Amino acid sequence: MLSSCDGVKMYILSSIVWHSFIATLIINFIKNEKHAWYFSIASSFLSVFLACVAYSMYDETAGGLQFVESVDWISFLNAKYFLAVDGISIALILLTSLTTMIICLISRSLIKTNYKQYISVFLMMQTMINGVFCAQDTLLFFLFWEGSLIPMYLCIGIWGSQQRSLAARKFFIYTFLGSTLLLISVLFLGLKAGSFSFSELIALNLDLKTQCFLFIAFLLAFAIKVPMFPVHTWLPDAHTEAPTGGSVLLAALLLKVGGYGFVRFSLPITPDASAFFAMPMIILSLIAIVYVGLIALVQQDMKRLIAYSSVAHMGFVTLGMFGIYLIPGQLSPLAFNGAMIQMISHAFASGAMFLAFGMIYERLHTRQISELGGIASKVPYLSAFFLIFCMANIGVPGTSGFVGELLVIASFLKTNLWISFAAGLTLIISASYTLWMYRNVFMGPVAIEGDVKDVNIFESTVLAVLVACIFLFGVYPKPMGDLLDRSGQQVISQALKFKVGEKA
Amino acid sequence: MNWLVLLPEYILLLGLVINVVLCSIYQDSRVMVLHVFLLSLLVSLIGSVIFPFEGYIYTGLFVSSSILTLKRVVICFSAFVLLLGYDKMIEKDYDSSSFVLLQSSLIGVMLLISSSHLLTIYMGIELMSLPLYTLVAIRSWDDRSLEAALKYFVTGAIASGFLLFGFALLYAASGSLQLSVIKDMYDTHSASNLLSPDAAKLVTGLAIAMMSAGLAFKLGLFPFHSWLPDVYQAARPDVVLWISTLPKLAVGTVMIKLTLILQSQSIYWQPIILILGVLSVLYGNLMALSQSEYKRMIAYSSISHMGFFMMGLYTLNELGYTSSLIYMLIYMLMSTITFGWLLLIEETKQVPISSLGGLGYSSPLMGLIIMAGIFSLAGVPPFAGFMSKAMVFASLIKQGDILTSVGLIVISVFALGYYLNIVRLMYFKDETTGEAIVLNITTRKAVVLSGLGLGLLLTGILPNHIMLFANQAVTHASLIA
Repeated sequence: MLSSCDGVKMYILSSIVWHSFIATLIINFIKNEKHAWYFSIASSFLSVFLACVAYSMYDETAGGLQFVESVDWISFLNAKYFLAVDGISIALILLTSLTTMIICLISRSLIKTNYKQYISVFLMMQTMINGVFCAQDTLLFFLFWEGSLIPMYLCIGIWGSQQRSLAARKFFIYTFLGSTLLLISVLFLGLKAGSFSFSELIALNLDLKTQCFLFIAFLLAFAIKVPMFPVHTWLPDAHTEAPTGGSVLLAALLLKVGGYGFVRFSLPITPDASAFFAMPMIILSLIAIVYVGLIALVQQDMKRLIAYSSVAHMGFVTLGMFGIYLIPGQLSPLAFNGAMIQMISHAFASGAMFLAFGMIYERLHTRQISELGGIASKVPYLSAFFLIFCMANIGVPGTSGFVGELLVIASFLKTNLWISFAAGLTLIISASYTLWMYRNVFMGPVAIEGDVKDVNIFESTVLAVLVACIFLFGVYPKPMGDLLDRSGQQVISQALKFKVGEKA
Repeated sequence: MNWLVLLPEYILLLGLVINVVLCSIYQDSRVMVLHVFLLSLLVSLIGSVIFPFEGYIYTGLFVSSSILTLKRVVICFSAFVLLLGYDKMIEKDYDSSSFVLLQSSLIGVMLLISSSHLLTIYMGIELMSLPLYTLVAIRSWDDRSLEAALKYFVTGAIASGFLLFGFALLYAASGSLQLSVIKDMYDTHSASNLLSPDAAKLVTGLAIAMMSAGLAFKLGLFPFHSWLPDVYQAARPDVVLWISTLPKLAVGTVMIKLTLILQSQSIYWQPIILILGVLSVLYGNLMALSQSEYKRMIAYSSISHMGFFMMGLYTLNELGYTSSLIYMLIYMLMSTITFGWLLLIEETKQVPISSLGGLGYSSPLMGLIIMAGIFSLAGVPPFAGFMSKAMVFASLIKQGDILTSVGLIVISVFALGYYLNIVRLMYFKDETTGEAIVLNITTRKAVVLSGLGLGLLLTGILPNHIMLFANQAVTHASLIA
């Protein structure tokens, strides 16, 4: 019995990463589109199952890297095919499989042209994103990281709305530019250490100057992906033009990849530089929270509004992460865990809003808030679901959005009241734009003529799953907290293990 | 058994002789000659596998060692090129003499790879280039191709002159034409016995400058690139496919050989390589951005790729040579795809980029392969083009030239502008303007191209073999001795 368990542990990560890739290959040979849809659902259920197996087998109390798989990959450079996960990765893998499942389930009714290709693009992206979360070798990480670029580019460009090719190009060039310096730093570190695995790079001794350069290179790559304040401008375009599935995946997963990059690269490899740049990073995060939130307030386009709110909420992730350098002692895990929980809950709130909006768009074909109005009377169930997602986005207590934001804001209270205050402004700002949008779109005089179909039983089931997740993590966040806690502490201990003398 | 060193070349030569005879006997011998060519490729491949002989021949004029694998790669590639161009080549306006020319050019390529003597290098380059000038001019009714051929010939002749002058100076400084002897000479003493130290330094520097200029002409590096876009645009597609792959590899190996033997002279090499490399990358990419014709655009992009190849040599160390050889091999693979699909088009004079509109839908498989080729040229993972670029950066970074690699990588982001444009036209439907081209796909071509596309993906994901091979080819100086 034990041996079979070990066997599963040895190959679980490879199967998580590659099963969707194999599904991509198979799906293109299926003639009937309906069968292709069934097949994609089967594949996504398999990924949820595999992710759950990994979750149940993961030893939370021990933490650290588990399910290690290490094979020689490029022996010439001593790069390895090295997969392993800790609690943070497991949480994100669960999120990935859940999101892909929802996208696959809902895709059939939303996409009419080139359906098989559409699904293969998402399955391919699932492979790449899972790969990013599993990879413990930086070169492998980079390969997966860049591998999600082409599918997303095609997704926006082929199935997007009017301005799609511009948005797709903007997305591609922005992200590619960001990752160029990441590649240079990965090669620099890898050649210096003689190995590309994270653990060796973390052990590498670097002086402050080198760390600062590396930190900036990492920052460019991850800040563009998260996205942080000055480099966020690709996101509203990409979100607005992307098809519904693309927006959901972008909000729920691709942005998390950026945050995850900070956790794996910036904090442990360049701890001194992270401490050195902690304050600027916090200021940038606060600008994202407050200023981008204010921008969201004046949006006329509903999808753009959700996109800006997405940027604003991701500000909490970076705020909490770099908060550990300012917050002393026991409170710093609080900030870090808050950031991690915010990553997950943002996926539910933002992803769900994009999904629900996709359903509205499919029925009414407009994104302009002024052209919508009073649709609650036409689609009461959809409006009810949307209201719950709005509440999660605002961070109303009881929803998942509340937990992460509360932890981050509370952890700053003792250190710097002003940071807490500025971050707390989000409660007002995000409530204003979300509720304003809700009032103008769903309430008020009816602006649309004719009948509009409400969500069918199938769509409402999918939305209900999301609602369940939002309330589950809002009311009872302990399982997620347990999963993240130990691994979070390990990351913090790496991040606070300064390499040059005392705190720089 | 020493003659076995050049066994593949002998077999090809035999095939060539048979073909010449066939040409003179029969009126219309195209199909026959092509089959003899293909057969001789197959036999020489089998021969090189059965008799993998290593050693010298003709008192060290040629050498065979682990580079035998490189020869096999060359043989396979020329078979791909022929199979891709098969239908086109047996059409009416083609002459069987063009196969004879191709075959002798191929022998030149093979000899270049195995040469270990300056004279055989020169001979190989001429044997490789002269048939190509004729092949470009073979569409004698087309003024453009005549113009291109003349440009190609004149610049090629000047390049040969530069190269020969460089060799002469090198001989003056070292007293030998044998590559391994010259290497020993420069590695042990800094100057020769024949000249005073100062004069030897000057002569060596001049020789390096002359030789790099000559080879830069052949590779099409800025500022010696002027023939390249015209030739690529005007020549027959199968000839372009040939010019853009195998001769590049052959000249590339010569470049690696010369940098290997004069490894100690980094003071002369590095500024020359830096200027040629960086300017080529910059110029090629900037010019490609403004092109509206596909072949011209890819021609300019090839200038930038040759620049990357040169930057691999910049460090003059083992990792650098390895990365350059890898770059060249992978570039050859990419180039075979991005030029090879042009052989599927009926009318081949001009291919405006706008005519690629909707190609991803009218022929899905080809669209996918072309897209893979384009993304690979752009250096996006998971395709092989990424690994080759990463290796060049790795060699630069290991040497400490981080600023150079950052500069290069930022320039390569600009290149995305025109690469993405092609993908956009092929796949993003509403952008389609102008007349769309029709691809004439046969099973043979589809199989060859998909094989190449798959190779591109596999080399990108599992690049270990090609890296180890390239490293083996340069470490023990197998290329020169």
